Amino acid sequence: MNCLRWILFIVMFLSCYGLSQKTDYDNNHFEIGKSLEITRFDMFHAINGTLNIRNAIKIMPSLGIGIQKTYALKRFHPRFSLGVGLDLFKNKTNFNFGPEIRSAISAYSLNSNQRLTYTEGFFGYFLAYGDKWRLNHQLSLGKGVEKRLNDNVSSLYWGFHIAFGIAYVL
Amino acid sequence: MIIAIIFGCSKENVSTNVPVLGHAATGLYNPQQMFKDNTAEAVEYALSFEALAGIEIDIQLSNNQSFWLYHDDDLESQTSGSGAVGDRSDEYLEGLSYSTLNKERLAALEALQFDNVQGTKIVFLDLKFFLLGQYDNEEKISIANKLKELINEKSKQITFIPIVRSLENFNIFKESGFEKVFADVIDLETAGKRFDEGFDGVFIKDSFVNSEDVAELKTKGEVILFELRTVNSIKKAIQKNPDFLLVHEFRTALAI
Repeated sequence: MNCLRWILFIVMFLSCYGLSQKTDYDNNHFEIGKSLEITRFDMFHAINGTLNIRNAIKIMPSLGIGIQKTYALKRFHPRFSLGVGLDLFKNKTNFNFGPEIRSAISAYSLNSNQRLTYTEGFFGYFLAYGDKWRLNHQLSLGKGVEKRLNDNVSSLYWGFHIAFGIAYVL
Repeated sequence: MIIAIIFGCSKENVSTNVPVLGHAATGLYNPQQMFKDNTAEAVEYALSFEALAGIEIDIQLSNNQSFWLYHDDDLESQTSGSGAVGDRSDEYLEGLSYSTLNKERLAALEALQFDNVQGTKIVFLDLKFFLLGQYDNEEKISIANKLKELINEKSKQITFIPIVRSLENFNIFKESGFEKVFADVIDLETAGKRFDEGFDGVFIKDSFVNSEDVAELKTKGEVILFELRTVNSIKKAIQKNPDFLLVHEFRTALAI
């Protein structure tokens, strides 16, 4: 019952939220926002942007820092990712959904003489809802490669990218 | 974010002199593990880290009396097979893979390659098959001798150390020529008893001992703390100054 109440609350909130700030933005516009990104090896809080081209193609860059490595381990762990999506609901101004491909690179130092880099490629979907203020979500799966720069060892792995965020249309 | 980066990167002083070992190579039930624990890929991956002191792997015996790396009691829990390792033939086990995305194969100790080992390493062999108590003394001696013969053919960069749970098994492995034999103990009292019996070292859960206990045990032999999953638990275990830490995510421990 409690669960249903929460679902109803969220649905009501989202409905009001989507309708409250009706904005007619250009076919080409930019959004800037903040997101939490969950990956296989760390969670990142990130600043992300979305460039909408003709309301159909989304270019979604994101720059984040790893929470576990940077805060708990005191190892600076930056990550840059770039997603490109195709909006299947391009005629709707407040709802976007479609497939995306994403590439990401991150790195941190294990110790003074060992540096790890992670290069990843993903395929999945993106979802966005709202007008001036928008809620974003992305989920994608793919392969990555861990490289140890000092001893030139590489390891392939399966990875994922899950992001939840909020953005503002400029 | 800039403030977060600045504060996030002021490195605090935690002694990292305690050597780190990988539990089951890449950690049990570790969502960050690169490869499934106790597999050939996991062993190769872990031992290629120069900063890692070594690994612990779980060893079981097939019904052909070959040594296989596997942790759980039954094959259903982790692989495409069924039954227990001890009930299955080498031929059956060779055809099994783990239920992971990488589909790593079940690994035989004999088939492990140690080509990419960086520096000298220790590999602890947790001999799970003796827990079953199904072997008589003569069989145990033969198994110990076979294990010693097998590891003698492996890399010279690696020291293999068996982990057993009884004095009887300790004596068998010592007589087979293993320089060191360690015990897996359940409490502080048993740890002290094992050292009195002549064991070279003990594996003991981190939560069972404090710094004073570790210091006292270290006067008798080597002490390895295990069951370390979080960054905080690893940092606290380092402060206890054991001889080794056995951790589930060794990359995290090496970065502390």
